[in-house]
Amino acid sequence: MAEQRQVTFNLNGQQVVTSAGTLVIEAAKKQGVEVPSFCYYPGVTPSSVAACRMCLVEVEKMPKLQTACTLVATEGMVVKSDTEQVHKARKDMIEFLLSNHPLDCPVCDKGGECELQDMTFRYGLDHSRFTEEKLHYPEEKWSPLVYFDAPRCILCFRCVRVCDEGMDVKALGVGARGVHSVIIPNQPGQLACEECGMCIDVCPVGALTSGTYRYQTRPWEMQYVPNPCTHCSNGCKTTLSVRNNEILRANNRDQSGVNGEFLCGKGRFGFDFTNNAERVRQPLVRRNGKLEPASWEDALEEVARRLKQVRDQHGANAIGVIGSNHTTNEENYLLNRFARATLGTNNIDHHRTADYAGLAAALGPNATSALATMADVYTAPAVLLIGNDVTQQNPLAAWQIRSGVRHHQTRLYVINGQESKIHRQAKLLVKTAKGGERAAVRWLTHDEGTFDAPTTEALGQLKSALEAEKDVAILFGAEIQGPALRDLVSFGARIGGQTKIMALGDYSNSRGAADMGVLPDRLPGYVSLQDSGERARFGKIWGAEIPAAAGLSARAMMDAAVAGKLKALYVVGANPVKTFATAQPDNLGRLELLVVHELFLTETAQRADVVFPAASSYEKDGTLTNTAGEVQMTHRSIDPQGPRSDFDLIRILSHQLGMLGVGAPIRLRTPEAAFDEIRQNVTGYDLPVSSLLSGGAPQSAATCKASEPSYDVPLGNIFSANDFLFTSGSLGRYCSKLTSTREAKDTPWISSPNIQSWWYR
Amino acid sequence: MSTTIETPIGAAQTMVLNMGPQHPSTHGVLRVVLELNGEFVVKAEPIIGYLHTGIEKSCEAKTYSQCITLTDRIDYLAPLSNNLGYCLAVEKILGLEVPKRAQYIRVLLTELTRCASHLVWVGTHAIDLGAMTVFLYSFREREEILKIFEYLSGQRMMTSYFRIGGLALEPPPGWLDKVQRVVDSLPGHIDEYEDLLTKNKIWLGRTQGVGIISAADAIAMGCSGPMLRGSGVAYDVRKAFPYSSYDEFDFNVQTQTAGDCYARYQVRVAEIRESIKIVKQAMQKIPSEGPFRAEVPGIIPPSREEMKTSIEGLIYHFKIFTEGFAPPPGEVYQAIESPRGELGVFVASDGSHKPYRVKFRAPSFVNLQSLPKLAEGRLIADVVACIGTTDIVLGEVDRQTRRKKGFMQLPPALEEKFTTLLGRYPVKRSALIPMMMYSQDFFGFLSDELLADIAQRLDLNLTEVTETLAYYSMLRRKPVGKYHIQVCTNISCMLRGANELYAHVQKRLGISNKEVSPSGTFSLEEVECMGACTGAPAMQVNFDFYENLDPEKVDVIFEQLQDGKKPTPVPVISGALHERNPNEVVVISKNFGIPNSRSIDMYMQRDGYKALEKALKQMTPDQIIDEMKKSNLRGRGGAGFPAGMKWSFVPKDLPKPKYILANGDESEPGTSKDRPLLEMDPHQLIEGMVIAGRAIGANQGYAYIRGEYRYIIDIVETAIAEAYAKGFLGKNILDSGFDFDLAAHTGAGAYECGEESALMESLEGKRGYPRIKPPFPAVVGLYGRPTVINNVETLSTVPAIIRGGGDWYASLGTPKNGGTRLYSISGHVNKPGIYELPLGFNLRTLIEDVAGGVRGGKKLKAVIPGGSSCPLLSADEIDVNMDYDAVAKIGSMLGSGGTVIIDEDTCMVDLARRIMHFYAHESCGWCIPCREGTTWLRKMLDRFHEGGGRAEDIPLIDELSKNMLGRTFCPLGDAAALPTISIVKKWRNEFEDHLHGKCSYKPAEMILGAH
Repeated sequence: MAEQRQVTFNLNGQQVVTSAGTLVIEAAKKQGVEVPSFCYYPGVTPSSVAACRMCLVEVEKMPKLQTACTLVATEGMVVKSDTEQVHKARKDMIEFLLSNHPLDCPVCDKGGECELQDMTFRYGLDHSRFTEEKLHYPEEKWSPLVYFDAPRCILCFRCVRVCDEGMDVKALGVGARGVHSVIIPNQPGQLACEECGMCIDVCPVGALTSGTYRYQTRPWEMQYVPNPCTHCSNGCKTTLSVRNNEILRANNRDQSGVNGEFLCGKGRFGFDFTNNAERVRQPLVRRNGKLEPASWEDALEEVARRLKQVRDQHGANAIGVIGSNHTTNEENYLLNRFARATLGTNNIDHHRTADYAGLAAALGPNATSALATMADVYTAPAVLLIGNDVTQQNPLAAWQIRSGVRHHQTRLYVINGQESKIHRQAKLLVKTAKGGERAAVRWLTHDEGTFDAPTTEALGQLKSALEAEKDVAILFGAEIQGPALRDLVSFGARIGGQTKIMALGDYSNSRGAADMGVLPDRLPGYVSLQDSGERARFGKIWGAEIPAAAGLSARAMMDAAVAGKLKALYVVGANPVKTFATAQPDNLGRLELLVVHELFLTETAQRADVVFPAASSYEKDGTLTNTAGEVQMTHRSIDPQGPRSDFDLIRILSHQLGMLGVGAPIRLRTPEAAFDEIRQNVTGYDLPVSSLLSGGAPQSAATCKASEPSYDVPLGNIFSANDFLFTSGSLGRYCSKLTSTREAKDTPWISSPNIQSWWYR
Repeated sequence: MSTTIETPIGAAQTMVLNMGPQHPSTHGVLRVVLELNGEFVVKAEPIIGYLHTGIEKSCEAKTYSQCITLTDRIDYLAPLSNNLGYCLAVEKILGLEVPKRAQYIRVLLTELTRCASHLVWVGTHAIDLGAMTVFLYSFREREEILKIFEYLSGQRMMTSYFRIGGLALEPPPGWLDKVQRVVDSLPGHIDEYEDLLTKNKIWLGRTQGVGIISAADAIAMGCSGPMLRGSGVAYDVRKAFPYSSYDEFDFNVQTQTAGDCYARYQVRVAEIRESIKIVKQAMQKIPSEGPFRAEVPGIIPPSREEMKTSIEGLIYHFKIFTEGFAPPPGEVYQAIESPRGELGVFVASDGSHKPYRVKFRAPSFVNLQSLPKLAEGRLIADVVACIGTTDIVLGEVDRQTRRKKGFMQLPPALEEKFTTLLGRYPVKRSALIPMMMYSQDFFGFLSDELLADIAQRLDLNLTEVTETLAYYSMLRRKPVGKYHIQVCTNISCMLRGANELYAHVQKRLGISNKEVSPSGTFSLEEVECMGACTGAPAMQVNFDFYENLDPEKVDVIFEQLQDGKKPTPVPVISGALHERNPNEVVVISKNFGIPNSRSIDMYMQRDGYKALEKALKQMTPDQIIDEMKKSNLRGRGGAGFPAGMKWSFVPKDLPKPKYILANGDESEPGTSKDRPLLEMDPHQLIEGMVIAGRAIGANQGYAYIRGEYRYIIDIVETAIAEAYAKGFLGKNILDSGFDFDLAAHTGAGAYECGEESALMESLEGKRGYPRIKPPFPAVVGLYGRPTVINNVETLSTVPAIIRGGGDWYASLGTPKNGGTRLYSISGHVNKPGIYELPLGFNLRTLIEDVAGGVRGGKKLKAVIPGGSSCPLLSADEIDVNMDYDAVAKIGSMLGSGGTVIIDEDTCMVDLARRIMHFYAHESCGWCIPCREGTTWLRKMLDRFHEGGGRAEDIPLIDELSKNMLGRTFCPLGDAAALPTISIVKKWRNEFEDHLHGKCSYKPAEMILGAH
């Protein structure tokens, strides 16, 4: 990029230096000078619209007032934003705006955080000169999540633009004209869209309100807790608005974090599972074939006793542990220690949704510089996307790509065997057969394999285009694993500049689970079990010798359980019965003990001998790692009302087992203490705590010592969860608002013509 | 704007006729779209989905037993057949044995059902084809059968008499006697029908050889029942896959081989006789005693007796009727022979108490596909026979039409128009507004279905279509009357009595603004200036202009319309044809009034296209621009920007395409001077545009013409075609190597689109919102490419300048104000009209001499010098020489040359009010001050003029106008503010007068609140 030229202009008597091309409104903001605006909304649109006329400023040598949102600062320009004329103009605009605004602040959700209220209070008149009748329209319910109150609308068009340019959905438009102009949804009286709620978020007034939040509370009555979203792997920051121990709203209030202003429907509306009536709130123990409530003491005692029994009778390898891809890093780390040191088995795994371990092995020590952050996806001049439906499965990554394309013409190259809306942004798209992405990557790297003529030609174009690029960001889904992943890494290394790479997984802490070694063959930080020195090191910290032989994968554990070879299965925050569907569930009857930590009675929990009610990530402290490796703190925003964190459960259980002579009790009392141990012992996790505490998302890069020429996981162990914008594993079912939308009721998107109709048009 | 489809019928022309949905003949809710070549059917497409009852889906929410009542409604002429099919399917999945007694009764009743259904068929088929009597008879006999059903179940039609495992109730005593009576009498009645029909010549003529389908085709299309058997295929489910003990009965499958309507008639009649045979056998077989349903605890409810006396019975009854029973997981298909053919029922159970899926293979749905086969190539009269012969029941078709890949079938003329439009623009979306305008011509309005179709054709999101539509006042989503009357009440018309005229029209038609008369003949709309200012007052009927009206003339027009005659519209704009005033300097209006002036031959006889030849052969592009600069031609649209300078701003040597746009969106109230240029001298504009294209290196031009000038678009398109034919447009014009393409483009009713950047947005198929400037169009214009946009008059002047030279042209006017321009003079003058006068012409002379002075010897009060956005001049300010600079000096603008003269009897508050109504109506709504300010002022001025004014309103009106002034996104806010400010300033006394009573000039009888 050419070096930015600087210009100096005069703002209210001060000399201001700014880069050429900066809008006066932005330059003023940096100087701490407020130039009010409604329609100007940085980031969402490349274009300003100059509709609200609030940002009028005086410019020397220009006869009329100018809109600061369209005015580019030029050398020597003299701008005045605090003259009498400017203040009068603002006052007049507010007066015009309020002429048809209803008198309903007392019942409007936006009251207290309304930009129109603020502007009126700051710049407007204290009385009205308008004596005519105002316009009236009834309120409309566009979806269970989006309500529209036309009279409140000030027609800043932010919603229309964010829906079109930001989300690439274009479900909103403008109807009629003049004073009757009104925002209209894409279907008569209702919306058919992604239900992301971005329109509600950007609305400066109470015209668009949220179906989950309306008429609930006032903004000053709530506390605001920042938390990474608990649904997909992108780790958007969502601010939970909490009152009386209840989450009432989620939005990214201050637009900070990896996602800026972006949130999808899951992040914005998918929080009400926390107080779902079906939540398990006390321990359940199976007695006479039925799960019955039990005291914590009895349940813990029973689990410890029976675990010891299995271990004594069948050995430690008859026990399996399946971890979670949405529990915290600390919990995963503890679970790892619990399995390997306390129980003494390497049978530990989780549902792997991307080949993070394979990526670490392929990159080796290069991982530190090669992993892409979410910001990299936006800034990269070119993006290569392989597999995955990012729009549906990784909404933030898709937003970053779209923003890049919109703001600085990112060139998007796609190889995909399935449909995805992001293809609209693609400069070159290679459509392979379903599952053909691996072969395409092989062809790119080694020129091996044959395709039909059009595919070959498309691949050829893609290859030569990529070879001419530099600083490419490569994103890939679960389709790419094992040898294909190594091919891709080596192809990436051939491209000029600094190639950045990102594996796209599912669930909020998939990457964290892999980083923390919830894998049968890897210790935290992708340390190989074969490395005796490392094994000894962890053994020393954990107070037990770690067995050397790799354990069973999650799928193999389920098979072994059906076969009667595995006697006890300890499941934390996972639903393997559903996920792996390998066995007729009732064959699990051959297990002697099935323990589950869960929020709800999932298919797995229903078959458990003991169910521990678990806290969700909105109810506990800890850290989560998103798919890009960015680590964020999660906070206890509400009290879990019965359930306990998985962290506490594992810790307490280790004490219980210790009393029975099994393993050493875990003495890390808090997640903070555990994170300290992680920082010291897991490569790539030595992150600045200050950054985490201040709401940052420093990138971790759990790194292998050397790149490994062959690290393969048998097929069928790494696979996508195939969640779409309205599902989220077992959790999504309990997000009642999210599932109440018409779109959520459609069958998953790939096969559904209904979705296609609102999706692709 | 006509609402009827007038498609000429000829050898090469087909027309599309919509048949149905209606009763009779399309049997309720079937719609058939016929493409006709004369009397012959070229294509017949059944359109279904008008009766979507969602029965299959509803079944999923009901217990297995509850579904039975739904099946009644599928084929409402044979409910018992549906009951049977469904019950058999569930019984199959349950593995349930039904007692013989119930099986025989089921056979008996479904055969009676077949008789009843065929009786309805024969009766309605006969009446469809003109035989009335059979219809009366057959319904009489059918009633006897329905009485039996009623006796058994309590219901004539929706019987729900069959239940899972058997029957709903024990048949009442004596029921078989009733059956016996029917069985005895029916064959004789059938004979009567046959007497009436079977050898009837008309009947034979209407059915024999009509609607033939071969056996192979019938099989290929999945036909069943009489539709199949009439073609000689002896397939009958009762024989092929016997159910309910049909294998114990002796009957024959009736077939015919001809495969025509007559054959199917024969089959159905024979089947009635055959059914009677089966019924008779059943009557013999049915045991007088025995269970009427199976006994399976948990599935079949216990008897009433049991339920009322034993607690177990009560519990079982309760559970079966609340929770229902749960068949094992699995799926079954069960078919029966319904009167219409193979009725298949698919039931899938997931082991729960409700069916996971129920699907009906409805014979009507399948048989209906044969309709095109039957009807195509036949006469239109045969279509009724072909529909009837398929014996469909639409309840059974019960499917929603899914949007096909591919587009709606539209009238061929419209399709052709669409194709032309799509070929015109580099970006498809540009065709959107014209496509909507032309579709509206055909259908009278834009239906949701059509809009979705247009969206699909243009690869647009539906929102993009609807939001564009919503912006333009001429596009509508609801039908209007056959004659859509639009009356202009804007200032020029108002000054000449439009309010009184409009009141008269309302009274005469008995409808108000935006209403349609009950008969659908007339609809009325009060509209803003439609460019007939010199012929005020004016109105449009559909797209035809009628000018210089008064109530008597209007009455004559309506009388003619009511008699179905078309009154003669104005041939060309009133005011363009008049005796030349000696002061006129004729340059661009030289062809006005010349016979046939719009034809290329006449144009060429009068120096036409000589300038083009000169420009292409003797001049370089730079020389053309220099000549334009020398001419001091300033933009005639209103802003007065020097045209040559505008052209020179276009970047040279840019590889991007460039465009020339003619702004023909003339809609400034008081202005009607582009209209005569376009209708009497379109070639002058075309020549000017090609020269402009040459000058800036553009190869494509568009003439954007306001939607209200619909007939003019046709004129311009004809002229363009002539120019192509003569080689003045297209490739390698006059062997110069220069290419230029040109097309006319229609607007759709929006004043804002006269603003150049809004016009480009509109031309791109979007809402006419203005764009941020800079960048200016010369650099970033249409489609983001360099564009020169000039007013029609400006471009029409170009040929004269090239022919005569810039210096000559400049010498006609004053310094920096070259040449002549057209004034459309309207209002209170004796000779309103369009006059060509040199720049710098004295306004007083213009009024007193050229326009013949103030009408009726009244005193002059005010003058609008150049369209309603200009500040008004008072009577003592008219000693001004009208050029851009001189008029600006006295605080107004030369504007668009729409000069409106206002006499002493005019209420200036009323005038201010009317002007504000216009701008409030035309505000695009993009920016706050204009959107809210114009409406606020409009409401205030209305109130003020009606007598509700307050002293503080006068400074407030002034202040609010000034609050808009200079602060809006585009000049529309200024246009609303400037005249208002000038009126408050110069005629403040009139406002003050209103405070002490009502308007002193006129009672407040004007039409308020129309917008």
